[in-house]
Amino acid sequence: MTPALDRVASGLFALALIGAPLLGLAACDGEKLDPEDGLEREDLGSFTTDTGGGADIPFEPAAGAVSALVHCGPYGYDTLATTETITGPGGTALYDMEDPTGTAMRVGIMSDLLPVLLPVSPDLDLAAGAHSMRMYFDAEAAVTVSCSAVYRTQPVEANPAVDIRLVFVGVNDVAPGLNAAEAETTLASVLEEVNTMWSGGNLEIGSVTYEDFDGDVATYTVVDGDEELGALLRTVPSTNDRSITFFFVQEITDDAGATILGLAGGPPGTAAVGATSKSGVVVTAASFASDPGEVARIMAHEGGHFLGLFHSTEKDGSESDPLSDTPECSNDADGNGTLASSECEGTGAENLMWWNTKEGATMSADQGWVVARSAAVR
Amino acid sequence: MRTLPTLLLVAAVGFAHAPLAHADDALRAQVVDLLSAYEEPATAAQLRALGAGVGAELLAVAQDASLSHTRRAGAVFALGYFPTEAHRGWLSALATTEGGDAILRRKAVYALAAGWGDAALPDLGRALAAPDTQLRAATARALGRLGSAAAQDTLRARLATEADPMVRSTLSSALGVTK
Repeated sequence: MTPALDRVASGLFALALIGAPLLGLAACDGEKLDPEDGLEREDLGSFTTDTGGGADIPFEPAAGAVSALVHCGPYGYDTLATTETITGPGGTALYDMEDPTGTAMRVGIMSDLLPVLLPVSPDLDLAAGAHSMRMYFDAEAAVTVSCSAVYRTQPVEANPAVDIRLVFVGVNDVAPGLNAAEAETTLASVLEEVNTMWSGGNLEIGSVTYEDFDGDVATYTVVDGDEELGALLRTVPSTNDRSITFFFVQEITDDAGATILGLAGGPPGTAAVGATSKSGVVVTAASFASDPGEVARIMAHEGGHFLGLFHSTEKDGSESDPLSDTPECSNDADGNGTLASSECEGTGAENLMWWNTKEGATMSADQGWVVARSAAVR
Repeated sequence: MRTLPTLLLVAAVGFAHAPLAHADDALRAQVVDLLSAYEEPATAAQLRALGAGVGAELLAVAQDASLSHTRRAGAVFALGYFPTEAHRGWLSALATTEGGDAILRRKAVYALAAGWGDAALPDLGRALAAPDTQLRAATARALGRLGSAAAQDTLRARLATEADPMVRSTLSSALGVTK
């Protein structure tokens, strides 16, 4: 057990369960970084879509920057946006949606706010100099967005760690039958398992804070759809803390009412940028008592998304990440359109970013390379 | 100081049965695999593509207390894709019996609405009057998605008496939802 988790085990879930006040920082096995050390922030301005439904966003990482997080929004939940192209210094093509796997770059398609992270693979590192990103909005009317960038200038640490903030939202009854001490021990084991899964990428949990949600618990106990998810993530303080906020809720549901195990802002989330609809991670904690390992896998996987990781292979095999050390599975042996874990044993299903909660998953070295460059990681 | 609600201690044993025998371990593994997706719940098409016997396997998973809550919840929800009378009877009992597992009950109301439509209104009406506010809210959403005139009438009737602000808000939203 790491020193940080030793401290966690001193009273975490028990206190949340019985109504502890905000406890502030748990201890950490190192000095806490000044949030702004090693980060440069730039307000890129406001942009309005042209007649083609796009907008060109210029940004310019300085020499020494190891990552750039560009985010534009808000544009609401009735509009989806993605990135058409990204060009680097000298007009180098870094991404083209017409050939999305042609380079080692990936982007998302998102409502309300679009974050884009460079790099997302060691095979396409960030270069200093003038870049341009063309966003595309699926909207009939013109859209105006505000864009900002966070450049990480802090060198990558030999032993990167990410601080986490746990916020409990109406989850008392996900642990029926467990007393406070048992719940506390279970949560410590969950965090230890997250560390184990992240260790393949040399990432570990730094400090841990925990608190009861002080907002509208009745509404967010069950997070129902995109708008509620975005609204909950916007409660992450705008102090731009360098951490990942994990909201533990009873469950997330899709629009049809089906349970979703976890959702991250992104990928990537707006690391080190609070108060956006992509500012954290929401975890369905329904299995806390029946299968705490599942809660750990949700945290580790969705945390990976927040830090810039994509699925190693999608469920239908249509997409894969741009990393060379995460196997890309295409073995749909039974031809039913789904890549089952049993069909991809040894060829992808053992990765943390596999599409489902298969046990024993770990982060790869390349995935560790990506997350170590996140603005949220110290 | 809060204590664990007695209701939820009861829920720990409600509707949790011993694992049922199942004939096809491979099919069980495939069903559970689909129910274990992080972000994308199993669709009707994905489950049906697994072949015959999926509905029965879903019921077995839903009743298997040795599995995680989320997998069981996914199975309960997916029973709405396989609307047999046996499934309806089980879902009806789950949705309307006080003391049952809170999350599984919510999935049952969604499954009933999706699988049986207006024929499930008597069960949905009872769930809409249950003490659990989250169950009432889930039922309101399910009725909103159902969208029939009878479902709208049920929502309006509940809105006239509902006191909880969160549920009232959900009822109002559901009444604005078109199918």
